[in-house]
Amino acid sequence: MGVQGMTTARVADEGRRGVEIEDRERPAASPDGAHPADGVDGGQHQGPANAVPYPGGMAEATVVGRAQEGDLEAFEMIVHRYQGPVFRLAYRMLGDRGEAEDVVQDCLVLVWRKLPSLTDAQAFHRWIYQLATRRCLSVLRTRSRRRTDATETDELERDLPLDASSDPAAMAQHLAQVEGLDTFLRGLPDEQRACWVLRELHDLTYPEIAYAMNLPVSTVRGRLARARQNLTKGMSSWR
Amino acid sequence: MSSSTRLGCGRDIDEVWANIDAPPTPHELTCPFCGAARDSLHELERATAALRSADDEDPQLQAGPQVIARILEVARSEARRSRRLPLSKPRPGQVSDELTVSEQAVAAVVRRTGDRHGGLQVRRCSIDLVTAAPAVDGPGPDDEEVPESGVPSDVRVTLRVSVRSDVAIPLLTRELRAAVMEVVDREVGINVVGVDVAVEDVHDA
Repeated sequence: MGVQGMTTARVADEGRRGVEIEDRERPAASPDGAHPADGVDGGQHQGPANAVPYPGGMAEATVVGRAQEGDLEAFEMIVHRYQGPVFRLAYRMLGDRGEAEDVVQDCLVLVWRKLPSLTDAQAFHRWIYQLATRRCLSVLRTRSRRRTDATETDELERDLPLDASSDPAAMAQHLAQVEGLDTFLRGLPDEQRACWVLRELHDLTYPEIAYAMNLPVSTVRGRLARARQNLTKGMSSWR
Repeated sequence: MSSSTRLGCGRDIDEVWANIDAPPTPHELTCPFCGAARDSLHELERATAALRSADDEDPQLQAGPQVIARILEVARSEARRSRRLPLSKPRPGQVSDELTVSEQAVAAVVRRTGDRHGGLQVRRCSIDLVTAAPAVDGPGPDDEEVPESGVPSDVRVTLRVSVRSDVAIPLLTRELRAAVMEVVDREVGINVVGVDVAVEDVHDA
C-alpha cells in the first residue's frame, strides 16, 4: 500500500459553511520528480511551470489583494495569468473553441464581480478553478438536455508542435498517443473528465478538485480511479 | 469505492497508480492483473505528459485578444468607485470641495512607492481623511481659526504588506513611511500624517 502523507485542508466556500476535508494524497513518489508534491498549500500556488508569472515576481495574494480593492491593473495581470489555463480546461471539457472562449469570458468577468466577496486571497487559485469548472459543467448539462452531438472533430490537433529533432517514427507514435488520449478523454463521463483534467493537466490537489466540483474527496478519488481505468482500457484496445 | 475499479486480483487500480513511479512490489511482479495495469498506466502517463505539453505550448489554445479586450472592457465599465478625498482641508459649513482625488488614485501612488522600494509588496492600502485637529501641536488650544482654503488635507495611510524573508522589518517600515509621506505630498499634494504598516505575510527572497 503506497499511500502516504495524511493531510487536512480546510476549504471554505463563500456563502457555504467550510468543509473539513481529510485527504490521503497520492504520494509524491518519484525520486526523479515526475510528479510535483501534492502539498495542500495555503495558496502559494504559482501554477504550472509554464504559467505566465506575475510581473516583478509579485505573489498571487498581492495581485489578488490589489484587484479586490478595485485596482484594474492588478485585475489585468490576473486575466493574463489565467486566461490560458481556463481556456485549456474549458477546451478539454467542451472540445469547442468558441464555447471555451465564452467560458473564459464568463469566468473572468465573474471573478471581477465576485472578487470583493473572496475572503482569503490565498484561496484564489482554487476559487477561479471552481468558477471555471462549474461553468464548464453547466454548459455540458445544457448541451445534454438539448441532446446535441458532442463529437466535433477539430483541426487544432493536426497542428501540434512537434520536436523537429525527434525521428519520424517516434513523432508519429507521439502524435498517435496524444490523439488517442484526446479521443478517449472525450468519451469519458463529464465529471470523470473534469476530475482527470484538473488533476493531470492542471496539477490541482485532491482537496482542490473536491472544492472545485463540490464533491467529497472520496468521490473525487473514485472518479479519478475510474477515469484512469477507462482511459487505459481505451488506449490498450486502440493499441 | 465502486467495484468497477477493482482488478482481477482484488486490488484497486488506484493502489497500482499510487505505486506507479516506484519499482513494482513483489506482488506486482508476479500478478498478471497488476503487471498489465502497470504497463497500461505507464502508457497513459506518457500520453498524458505528451498531451499536456502539447496543450501548454499550443499558441492556439488560449482566448483570442478580442475576448481579453471584452473582459477588461466590462471590468472598466463596472469599475468600483472609491471614496473621494478632498485635496484641501474642508472648512466648516462648506458644502462641497472644489478639488478631490480618489482614494484609488492615492493608493496607486502608494503602491508604486512600495514596489520601487524593493523587499516588500503592498497588498492592501486604504487612505482615510483625518478631520480632527492634530493633537497639541501647533498653535494654542484657543486657536479656533477656520483653516484657509488651500491648506492640504491630512490623511492617514493604512497598509497591509508582505515582506521578503531577508529584510529587517523595522528598518523597512521606517523607510517606507518616510517614502510614502514624501511621494504623496509631492505627487498628490495632500499631507500624510501617519502610515500604519501591518505585515501580513512573508514571501521568498
